[in-house]
Amino acid sequence: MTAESLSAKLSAIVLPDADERPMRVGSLWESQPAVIVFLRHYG
Amino acid sequence: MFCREHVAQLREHQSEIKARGANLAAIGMGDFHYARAFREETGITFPLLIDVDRAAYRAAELKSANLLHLLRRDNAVARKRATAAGHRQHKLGENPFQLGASFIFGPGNVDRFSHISETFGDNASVADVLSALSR
Repeated sequence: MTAESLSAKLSAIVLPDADERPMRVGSLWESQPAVIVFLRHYG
Repeated sequence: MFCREHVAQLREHQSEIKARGANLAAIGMGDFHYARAFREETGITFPLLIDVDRAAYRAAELKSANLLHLLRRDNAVARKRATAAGHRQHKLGENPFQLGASFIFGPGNVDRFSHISETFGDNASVADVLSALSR
């Protein structure tokens, strides 16, 4: 059995952007590479 | 301050990331007011997604620090570097010990690069990110 990739695990998660518009995270790397940075906080 | 330093580096190299055909986005915690203020203060133009419940952080199994990390030598070095670059510590959010990460995914659900922070100032270098995008 092949382990699920992290990108596959994250793909379906929907998060709002700073303007409160929802975005499916996986749409960022659907057709092109994406650099995804998780911030610690905004400090 | 480490987040701001890292975001500033990404912002400076955003055109190089785009030139390699890649999207760039950040995921943060906290509320919208806080996120919008951060976006304005840092001048970023790439998407900033808000993960209030930390669902994506948990799915990515990102790490958390603790008070002992404040004493680590590598954090002292990173703090000195960030301060010298003009970055200052701002208000912390609800989860000050949550650590970050940098990934490159895609196209499709393909994992290409991963840097999971081990402590506060441990961020992927932009050179490593650009190098991974070129492979």
